[in-house]
Amino acid sequence: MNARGEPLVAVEDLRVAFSTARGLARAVDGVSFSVGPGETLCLVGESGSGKSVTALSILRLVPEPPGRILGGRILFEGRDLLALPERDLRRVRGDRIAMVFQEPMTSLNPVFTVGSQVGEVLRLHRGLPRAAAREETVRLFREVGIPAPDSRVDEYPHRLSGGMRQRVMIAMALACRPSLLVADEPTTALDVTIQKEILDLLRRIQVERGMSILLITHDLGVVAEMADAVAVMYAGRIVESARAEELFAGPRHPYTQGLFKSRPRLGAKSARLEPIPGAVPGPFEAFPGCRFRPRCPIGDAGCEAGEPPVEQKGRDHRVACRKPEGA
Amino acid sequence: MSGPAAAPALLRVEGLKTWFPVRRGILAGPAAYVRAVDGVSFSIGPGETLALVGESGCGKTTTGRSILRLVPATAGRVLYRDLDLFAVPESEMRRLRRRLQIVFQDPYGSLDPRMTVGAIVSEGLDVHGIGTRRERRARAAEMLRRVGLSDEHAERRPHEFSGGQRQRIGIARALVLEPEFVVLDEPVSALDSSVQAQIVNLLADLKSEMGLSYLFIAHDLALVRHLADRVAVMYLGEIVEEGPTEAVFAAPAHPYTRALLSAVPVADPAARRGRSAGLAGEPPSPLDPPEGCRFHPRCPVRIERCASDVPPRVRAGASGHAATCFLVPGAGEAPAPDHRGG
Repeated sequence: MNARGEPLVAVEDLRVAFSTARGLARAVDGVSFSVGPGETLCLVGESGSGKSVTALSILRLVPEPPGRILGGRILFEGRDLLALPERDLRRVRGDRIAMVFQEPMTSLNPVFTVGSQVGEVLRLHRGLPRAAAREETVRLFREVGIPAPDSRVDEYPHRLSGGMRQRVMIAMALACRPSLLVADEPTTALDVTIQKEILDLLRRIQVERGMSILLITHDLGVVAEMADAVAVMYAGRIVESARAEELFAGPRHPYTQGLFKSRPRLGAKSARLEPIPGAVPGPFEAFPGCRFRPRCPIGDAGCEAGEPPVEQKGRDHRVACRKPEGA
Repeated sequence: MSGPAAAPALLRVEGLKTWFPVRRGILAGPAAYVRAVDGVSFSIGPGETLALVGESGCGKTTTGRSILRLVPATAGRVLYRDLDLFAVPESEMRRLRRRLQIVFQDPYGSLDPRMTVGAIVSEGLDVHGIGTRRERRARAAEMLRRVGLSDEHAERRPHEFSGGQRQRIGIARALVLEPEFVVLDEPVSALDSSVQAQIVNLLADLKSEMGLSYLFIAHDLALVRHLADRVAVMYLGEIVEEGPTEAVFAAPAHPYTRALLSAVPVADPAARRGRSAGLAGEPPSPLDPPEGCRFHPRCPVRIERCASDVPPRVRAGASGHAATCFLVPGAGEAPAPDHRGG
């Protein structure tokens, strides 16, 4: 999926379901993608598309039960994470792959200072003694742009703004020098001005550390700011993937096209938006064929005959549609 | 360019202040005040949409709620067709709420889960004693159709609906009373992006069909450009720039407006290199706003006096819209028509 040789992480045919009172909810249903070294892949989708479950699966953080990984492989630095014993997995988690979530307040423990929480990671994963851990925490806080880091390490999470808390989370993620950072909607809860700072920060540390980023977002603007490559998810599957410039220059899947068309633009006033009709399907809906068919402007009866084939459109551009641009 | 000023306003907000007391103990008096809204003035004409934008905590939501008296204001006036809403008794205000409605952001928390959708939509008609029971039911059904739902939906409960459908129900509930003025408090920000456009189009259609005026509270500037006739930019409880949407977006005069606009991600990967630097830091606390211009600690172009003197409200550039800053490019001498401190 990328032209730069060996990917850092390759997800192959991942399938994850949740057993619920209403039956089996297939959250991720055959997803494959890869992220190259130093590259940012954006996984875009709406609620229920399976993008967050995909991200959690990479760290095997999907709660089991009710969740269950039904199949697939996640190859990371030569090993299949899904086949790894929990003990080995714990070394990968945090050490090699770190994660940043949408809501930093719920990810931080309110009764400990932010410095002690980052310090704990450094002591556990890197075996630093207490004084050295504090020193390294201050250095990390400085790296992620927290003003007055010497005093901020002694603050409790609630004393910090949302943007500062997200910087603390990023500092914690960087503590063990991961090669992959998984960021799940890291700026969705923030104002645009703060979002811009956090995105700038992620880009800077990526370049400085040569890290790969898997960024989960619903915002095409964030994708345009950040992505080298993009995978668009809908109802548990990837419907289109491409290099970012190519996707923005010419989306091929009717769902991706709909997402672009339904957005108001900052640069020009449009007379009327063009919405995608209907709603995102629920996790229990069964599909005879293409999952986007009920909302698709160009679909026909033929689209109900099995999953649409994935077609290669150009070097890195794939579209899961029977008639991409075929109307 | 002074169009809106010529038409009589439907709603005029004059010097609105909403402060919240912060107490240090149960017996102590207020130790300080959070100045959520601190001297805000604007007017909205019939059939007009004014957008109120700014970062979280700037006071935009409190402004909307204060106007409808859902939150008690500390000072100022709100004139609705020359009637001072802050001076009328509560009983009169309840009657007036028929004409002044609100749609909330969260379509999950704002609908009573035990009521049927039909009952939710007709509740306002019941409260105001409009028509017979049969007529009320018919009007609720008609309103549900107008927002794109069907008769059978009236018998169901909110949990059976998607976020977009719930927001349609919230809109039907607000509009069934045939109001003139509606506060839209982030009406689509909780919705999936593919559904947002449906609701935006619905709001635009209903506005023109029913001749509504909107106060559109939003943080999505692209959406504001799409929906609003005029825009007011708020920072720390004050309006720093206000004018026709096209003029403000084409030539933002206040450094804060420029920073807000440049922070919006542009959906073009080719354009991302070489963009301007962002704003430094975060908004200070409204408990203790900075002296002088409230924006000066974060302002990239501040001069010495910004830290001590309150900036004037001036006409900006070619369009003549209002901005509150010492450094407005091509600022006119005459202050823009307004009612600050009224």
